[in-house]
Amino acid sequence: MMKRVLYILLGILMFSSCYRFDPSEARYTDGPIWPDYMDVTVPVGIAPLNFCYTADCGPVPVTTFSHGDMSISIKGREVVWKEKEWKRLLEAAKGEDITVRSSVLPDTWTIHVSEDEIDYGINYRLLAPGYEVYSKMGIYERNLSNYKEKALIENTQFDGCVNCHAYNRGNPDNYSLHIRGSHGATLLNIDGEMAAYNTKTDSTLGFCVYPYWHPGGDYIAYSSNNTRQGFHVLADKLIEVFDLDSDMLVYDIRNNCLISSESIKKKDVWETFPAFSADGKTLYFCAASPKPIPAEVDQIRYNLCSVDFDPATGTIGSRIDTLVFAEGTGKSVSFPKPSYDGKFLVYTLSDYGNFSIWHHEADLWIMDLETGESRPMDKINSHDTESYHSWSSNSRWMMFSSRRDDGLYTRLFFTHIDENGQESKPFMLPQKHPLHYYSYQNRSYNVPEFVTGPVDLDRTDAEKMINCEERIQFGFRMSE
Amino acid sequence: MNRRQTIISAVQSAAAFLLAFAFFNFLYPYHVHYQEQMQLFRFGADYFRESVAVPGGLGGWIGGFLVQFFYHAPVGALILGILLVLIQLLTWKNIENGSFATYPLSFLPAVAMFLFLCDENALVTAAIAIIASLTLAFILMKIRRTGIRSIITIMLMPVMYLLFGSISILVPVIVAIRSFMREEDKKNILIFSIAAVVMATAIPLIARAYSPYPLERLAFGVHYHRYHNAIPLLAWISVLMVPSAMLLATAFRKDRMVAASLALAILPAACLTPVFADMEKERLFGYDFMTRMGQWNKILATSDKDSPDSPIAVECTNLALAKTAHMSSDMFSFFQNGPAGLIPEFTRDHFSPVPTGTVYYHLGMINTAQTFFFEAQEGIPDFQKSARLTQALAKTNLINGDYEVARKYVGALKQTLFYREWAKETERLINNPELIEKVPEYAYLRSVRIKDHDFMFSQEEMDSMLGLMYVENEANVMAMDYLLAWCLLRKDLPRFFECHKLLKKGYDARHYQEAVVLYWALTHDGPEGMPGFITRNVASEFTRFISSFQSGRDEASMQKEFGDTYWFYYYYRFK
Repeated sequence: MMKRVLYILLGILMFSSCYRFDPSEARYTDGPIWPDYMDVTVPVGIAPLNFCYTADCGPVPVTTFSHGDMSISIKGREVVWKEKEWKRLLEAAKGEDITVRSSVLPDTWTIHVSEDEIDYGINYRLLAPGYEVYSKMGIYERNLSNYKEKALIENTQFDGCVNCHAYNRGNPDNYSLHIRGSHGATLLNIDGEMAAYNTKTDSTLGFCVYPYWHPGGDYIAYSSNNTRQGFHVLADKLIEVFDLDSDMLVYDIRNNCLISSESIKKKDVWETFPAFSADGKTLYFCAASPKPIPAEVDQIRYNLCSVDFDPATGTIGSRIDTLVFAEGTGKSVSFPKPSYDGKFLVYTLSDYGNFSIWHHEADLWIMDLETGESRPMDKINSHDTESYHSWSSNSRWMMFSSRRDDGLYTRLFFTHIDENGQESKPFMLPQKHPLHYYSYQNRSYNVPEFVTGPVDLDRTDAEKMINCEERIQFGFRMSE
Repeated sequence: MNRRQTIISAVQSAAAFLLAFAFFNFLYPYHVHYQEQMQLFRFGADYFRESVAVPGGLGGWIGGFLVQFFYHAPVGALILGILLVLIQLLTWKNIENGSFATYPLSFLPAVAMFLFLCDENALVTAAIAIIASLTLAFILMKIRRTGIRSIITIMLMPVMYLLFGSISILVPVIVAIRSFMREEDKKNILIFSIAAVVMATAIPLIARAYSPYPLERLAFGVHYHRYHNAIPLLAWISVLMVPSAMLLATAFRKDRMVAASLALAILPAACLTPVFADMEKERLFGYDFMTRMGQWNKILATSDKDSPDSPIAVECTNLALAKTAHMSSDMFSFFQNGPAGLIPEFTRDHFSPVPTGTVYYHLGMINTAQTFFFEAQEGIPDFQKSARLTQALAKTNLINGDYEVARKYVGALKQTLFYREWAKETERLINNPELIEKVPEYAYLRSVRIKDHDFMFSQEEMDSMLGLMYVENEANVMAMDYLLAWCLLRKDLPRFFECHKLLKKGYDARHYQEAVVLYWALTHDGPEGMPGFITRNVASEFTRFISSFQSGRDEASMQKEFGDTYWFYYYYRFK
């Protein structure tokens, strides 16, 4: 009798812990394969691009990948690579195309293997696409050459939410990480030394968010936002997140002091999303004229602006230049991100406001910093939201978040940007069993950032720092 | 024990099982349902992997597996009864040289566990961890050689910790006590005990490096209580009761002491159950369950029998009144205390937004309902998802036309036992959206929701939102009922009077007449020109009310005579 019970229990255990590919798990696309890896450009070190066929009936497909003399065939509705074979094929095809032929599809397609390398990995926040209350969330690190993901910090360790995080051009030794809630703090890791700061001062609106490192490593640009949210009643809109006020600030790391100036602390202008130029002498940011909230929330439009910055003295310039007058075209700019080679700047353009992730119409635009001309990035934009984006350290790859699959759960895509600023067709962050993984992933990817190596964040130390009351207070001064 | 004593002992266990079953099935069924809706147990490799990745994860997974059956309260009660009796029987098996008189002592851990499980946020994982530990200890004690047994026990400590959490410390404790009672080599026992203490201290410290949890949680259990910052004291008392029962047994050897040991087991259960069983919450969970199931008449019958006074119970009662078209005539027959009992404000917890979200859902405010359901799910303290709320979110997304999001939720529900059929049926709708209009619930809600005027939800502008819903679609009678009720509960008679004019039928409902008469009396010198739908009966009742009120009658006698009128609410409630 006992044996029988044991067998039944083992049976249940086996049944519940086996992975079975089920093409009906999700149907995000009308295309023949998902994720759509047809005619994409990939870096040589990327993890295998496993995919599945969306048709769940008919003959079992055989997919053949060939380059030169090499030819690898994989049979099945889900194409799952052996990592070594994939790496071997990519190495062989470096700078060239891999031709892909399927026994069930009439046309072949290619995977172009770029010679441009991609960074070691990425960091992102995973959280449910919610509103005020947060369940389990954390900052995670993903190695791009395989499927390994590890938690850097999670809110199981303390009461609160992990928020904005940023690295200096992907340098894992220099980061800023904001914790919200009763144990609110900003953890700054400077050259391997971590400390907890209180970034709110008597002279600023609130805590410092949206960090962006100065290329020299001595400054971090932040904004301080009084953010609220509202809920629409119409079916096609859900939520609106907006600021009631915001200011931009530059934190002088060596002197532990926030710097502001008359030019960027205007009462009649809301400044947000600061970003340093590649040479560190210009600060890009978004600026809007205040409007009555919530009555005219759909009239708030942010322009792309810039101001000079002198890293030698920490002086912020007095003249504000408007680079993109989005207001004039009835649009709004958010998340300006200049490439690290100083050639381009990518920003998000939506109908209004600055929280573009909740705007289905939000698209990515690229600006040539030499000519000042902008154009939509048609090859990577979709019918749904494209929002947050970041550059690889060599400025040849860009990662962006998109809600193109289901309209709510944000996923990550990568595109190659050539020296002329031309983007390639994007590919989705690879997973071992992508359809299954993304179908049951009930959290969104948020604030994705490249890292050039593993981040050495001691979870226990961080937990201790967050849970204790001790904070180093930010100072404040006005720029000369 | 002789045959007679064995039978009596078995009867004690059977009686305990029946009592536990009866308690959870007849007195505490809504707590059982509550437990079920705080999780989304999925059959699948990824869910299993996620579950077992934390210390005590297998216990948590088994707990989740069992709690999914709480969908049916009698099955849940049965499972709880079995778990408690298993704890008792296994405790008994671990008592050395147990006698007839010591048998009742084996109930002590089960009694503490029973009291623990009266807490709606207590997780059955604690019971499973105790059962697993008692079983393992029992098996280990079959090994006759002390040294080998000690080594195996020490080696199994980290394994048990990983599988069932910190309660598994019970294993070396039992092994040590039983070895001592068997009068085995004392030196061996001492070395074993020291090694066990070192291991018990080291394991959570080591686990801290690999698990993202604070040390105290790793030490007291990740999976034993829904609130991670709460130390599950009663669960640990239950653990403590095992060695206590084993040691006490030495004092209860003689059969005539059975009465004393029985008293020792029964008295705490009898005295403490009323302390730990929260019947007020049981009532609340009952209202929530009936609202979920659409048992409107049962809600009204419950409220009729025992007047609700908490905002959630009043809120559910009001929803039931609206759904049965009795709001305008019977609302003040039930306790009311302001608009918070109609549509409460959002609070950041995992329970109260659920009935409120249900109100919004029935009103056709789908986005607001979705927000409340989503937030409630996100608020579950142990970071679980909820099958019930996932189902609710699938519905709201389906109504909104967000089919791929609905498909995602349906996909998760397809991996469950009790929501699978619903999920498959809903998947058919997602694949054929034209069929959605043929489902009355969805077709109705799509028809009454706001389509033309976008605005931001605002609790302060509830009357404007409800008014706009009615103006956009006059079929949404419930929105109008709620609008007028909102004005009445806020005692905003001018606004009520203004909105009441919009009604084309049902304007002469009893409470509306009462409010109009009152408003007229407050704003006019005489009855001339009063709307013609006011009946003579209402007018004369009002005259009686006013003269009684002006004569200074006490509140109790006024309530006895006029307690079911709007006038009584206006003058005596929500001050």
